Amino acid sequence: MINKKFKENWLKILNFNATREIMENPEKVREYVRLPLSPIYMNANLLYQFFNLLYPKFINDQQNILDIIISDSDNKIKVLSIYLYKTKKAGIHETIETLPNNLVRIKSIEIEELDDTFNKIQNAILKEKGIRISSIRLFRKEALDLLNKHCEKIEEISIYEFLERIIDLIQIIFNEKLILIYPEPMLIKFFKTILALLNNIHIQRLFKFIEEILPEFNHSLLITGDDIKVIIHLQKVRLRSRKSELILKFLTPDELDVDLYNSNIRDSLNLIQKKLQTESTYCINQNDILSFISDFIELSIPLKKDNIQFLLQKALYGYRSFENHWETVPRPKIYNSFVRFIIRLFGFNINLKKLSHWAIPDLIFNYLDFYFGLNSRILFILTDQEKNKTGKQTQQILKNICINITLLEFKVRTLKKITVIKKEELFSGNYSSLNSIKEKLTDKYGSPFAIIVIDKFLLQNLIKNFIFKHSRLSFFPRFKTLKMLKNEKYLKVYPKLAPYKYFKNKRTISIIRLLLPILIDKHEF
Amino acid sequence: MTCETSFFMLSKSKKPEVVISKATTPKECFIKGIKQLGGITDYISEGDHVFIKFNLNLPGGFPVNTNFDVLETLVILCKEAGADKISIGSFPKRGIPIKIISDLLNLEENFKMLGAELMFLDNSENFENKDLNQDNLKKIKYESLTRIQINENEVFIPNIILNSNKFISVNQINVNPLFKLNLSIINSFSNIPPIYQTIGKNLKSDLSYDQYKKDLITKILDIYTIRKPNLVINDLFYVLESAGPYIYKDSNLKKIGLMIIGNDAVSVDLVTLKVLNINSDESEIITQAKNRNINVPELSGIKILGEKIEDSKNQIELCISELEKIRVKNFSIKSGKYCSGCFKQAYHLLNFMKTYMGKDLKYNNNNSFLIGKNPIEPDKMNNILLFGDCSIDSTKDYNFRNIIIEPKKKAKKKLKVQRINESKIKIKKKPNKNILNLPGCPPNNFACLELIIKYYGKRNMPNLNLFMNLNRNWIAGKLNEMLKSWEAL
Repeated sequence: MINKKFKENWLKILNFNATREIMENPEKVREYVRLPLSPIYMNANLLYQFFNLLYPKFINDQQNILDIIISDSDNKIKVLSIYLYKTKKAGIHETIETLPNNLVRIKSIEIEELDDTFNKIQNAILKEKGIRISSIRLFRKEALDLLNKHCEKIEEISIYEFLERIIDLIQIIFNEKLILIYPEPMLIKFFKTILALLNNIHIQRLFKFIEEILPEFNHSLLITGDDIKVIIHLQKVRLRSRKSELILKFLTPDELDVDLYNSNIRDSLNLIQKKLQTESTYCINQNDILSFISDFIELSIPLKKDNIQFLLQKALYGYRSFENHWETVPRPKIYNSFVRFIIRLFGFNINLKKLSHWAIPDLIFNYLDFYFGLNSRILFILTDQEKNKTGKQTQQILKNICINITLLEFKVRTLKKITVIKKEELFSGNYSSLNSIKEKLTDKYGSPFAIIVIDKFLLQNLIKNFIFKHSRLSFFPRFKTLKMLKNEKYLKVYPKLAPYKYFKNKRTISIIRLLLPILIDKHEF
Repeated sequence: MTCETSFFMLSKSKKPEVVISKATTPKECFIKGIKQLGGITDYISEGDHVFIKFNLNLPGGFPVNTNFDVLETLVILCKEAGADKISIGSFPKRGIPIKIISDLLNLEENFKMLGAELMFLDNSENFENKDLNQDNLKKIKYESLTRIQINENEVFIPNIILNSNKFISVNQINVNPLFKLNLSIINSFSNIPPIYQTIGKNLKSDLSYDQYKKDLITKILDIYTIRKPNLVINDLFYVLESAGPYIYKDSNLKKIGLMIIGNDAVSVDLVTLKVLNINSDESEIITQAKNRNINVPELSGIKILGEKIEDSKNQIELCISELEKIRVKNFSIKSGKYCSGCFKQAYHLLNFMKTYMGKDLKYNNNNSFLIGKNPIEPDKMNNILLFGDCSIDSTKDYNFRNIIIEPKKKAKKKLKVQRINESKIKIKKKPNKNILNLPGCPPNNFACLELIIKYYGKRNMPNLNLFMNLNRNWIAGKLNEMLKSWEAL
């Protein structure tokens, strides 16, 4: 029933998990498996560590799982097969046992009320096998078909193609409720609510867009902790065909001959950087990542501004904790005291370790509240100036270079709805100005309070110069990017709200001087 | 058309009619309410010139100003009813020209798109005209305003409000530090230019009498009686509670899901108060209105349509009544006896500081904020802010005005010093320079912010510095100067 290669790989994983306990030094084992549903090969022990760490935290922290495959043609539910995983440790699948199909009977109504169904199945398994299951995973046959289709030639596809496929698969599975898990894990609830919020947005397209705006990069990341030690190599390369490709590798320190126990972390990072030939290597503790991911998936959806503010605060706090919560090699010059002293002589106090993690979110959200209000509709128009062959900036050009239109609806400081609007809906008929766009939207979606037209090139530059080169001493590209914010070709806000008007008319250097005292804390203690 | 039309409408149905409308969106709620009230054609006739008064306070988003969804729906309904001309307008906060708000929010074009006209009641559409001299400006001003004498006061009201056939008030309900709620009667106060809304200096020594509030209420009621609206909409679909009527850190937007619409502002306000569980006797505006010849009906005398009051009751959190309860970081607030004028301004200033000056407050510790007559002596001496003329005048003999400098004692002389009689030690005093006077009765908050940044310095006030820079074009630009000249004419 399931894809042959998937099955082989899955059994290999189970086999490794079952024998791992008796292995003398599992971290030294060089046995490779494929990350299920992906083309990525990795050390079997690493995959074990991932399951051991992530499954109990985000999916289910109890033992024994039951997989049920069902088909519901003609409104009748038929159990096609039942698999029992007896797990000694939560999340570590070791053995698989096929149970008779007649052991469990499910009516179509019971699918909606998994609570009772679970109790019934739990009792049946307890009676039959003498073990108590903690979770059931119900797969509809359609889900299996989709999974099989996804697994076709999976080993041959690129990482991008895989990511696009898996995102699409997840969206279909959750939208059509093809896989149900009881008790429903926090992660699944998060996925569902995110999908509901994204409404009619095709996430695959969103992913494609993100891929397009990311610059070329080559970084590695060492995640350390009590449960896991893994090196992730992530690289985006541009191919000759002008297409780009992503390289994603999961490695154990042992595979790179990096001894984390007997050498200091900086030396280890230098070694990793040298061996993987990356621009930089980062190191972060597993608990910090897990804590951030937990906070992220616990975000209540619809998204409240307060929650986003808290998360931003946490992310900025993490960023400012350089050499405390994270490390990087080569050590950025911006952290060098002498360099900072020289910069300060020019009147700029740049100390990223004193980034005001508390004042920045406050500032952003207070001003957003004031200028956009607590209830508002904001229309984002994404453009691609590369498509503008004329070089002119007329209103009609906007119609040709527009690549995406999204309407965000905020109610009571909460992002309630995201709607993607078709280009034809906005630009048909007598389109003449941004105001006419407003007029067209009013009937169907309600009048937007503001329209923000932003170009892809600006986003690319912002991501490249402020995220990927966050701690570089390269001021010129950043000034250039900030200057782009003032150019209506790349960013236009309608109506011209006070802050936009101010920034547009002010010199970039004056804006930096004005903002830096808020972005960076004053005291050096 | 003047007050006759509204009088005619009231006398026709005898009882004032108020509808409590409930729906899932503000737009639906409004349309439903109008239908229940008999339809817009009961209020707007073919060929009417309609003036819509809305809340236009600051160049910000909802709920500081009226919900534009409701405003748009109203304009569309008026057009459908055959209105010949629809004008929309209001006076904003003092010192801000309408032209600036219109440009920042693109109001003029938006309303034009709907088929309505934004009225620059302060003539600010002419302020950018370089050929405009003082004489021309004066001429334009007095051609657009009518002088009205009420009691001993002289006020100027836009002709368009007096001359329009139908006058509609759309009022966003938010909490108000002085009057609990921004009722529609209070909304009518911004029918006149802000310069005429000001209350003169409090000359009475007894602050417990609160002359400021009494004068303010009298003035509000005076303005209300000049031109009563034909249709009143109290929009409480969303209400800004806790701290308002502007958006502050402690503000919370609560969804009530109701609109109260009627043909008499007092009745609509009475029902609004009842729905929000506020006793009308606690509303000084209503109590004062009763003492005057303004018709304040009993609830039983109002014909209530739509939802029942009992089923619509909601509780909201009102503004704090004591300034000490606004917890501003590193600020200790010491109050003496103050009137409502100072209370209102201090309430807004303190809430502003709490919201927009987080970093500034953290950088400058141990501050005291003294307000009112004879406030308590401050215990923190780093920086003392004296808010209002009363606190400046009444603290002239206070200890904090001087700093006591004790003579330096050298270690070797310690024993000798001990033997010296205490009376012989000379205690030097020097004036305390860490005092910032924020004068005015009541003080103007924008002026206070300028004084605060000057006193503490831009380096110590990065948040305020940014705020002043960002907002200088609507707080203190060329048009603002023109507005001042316009007001002075």
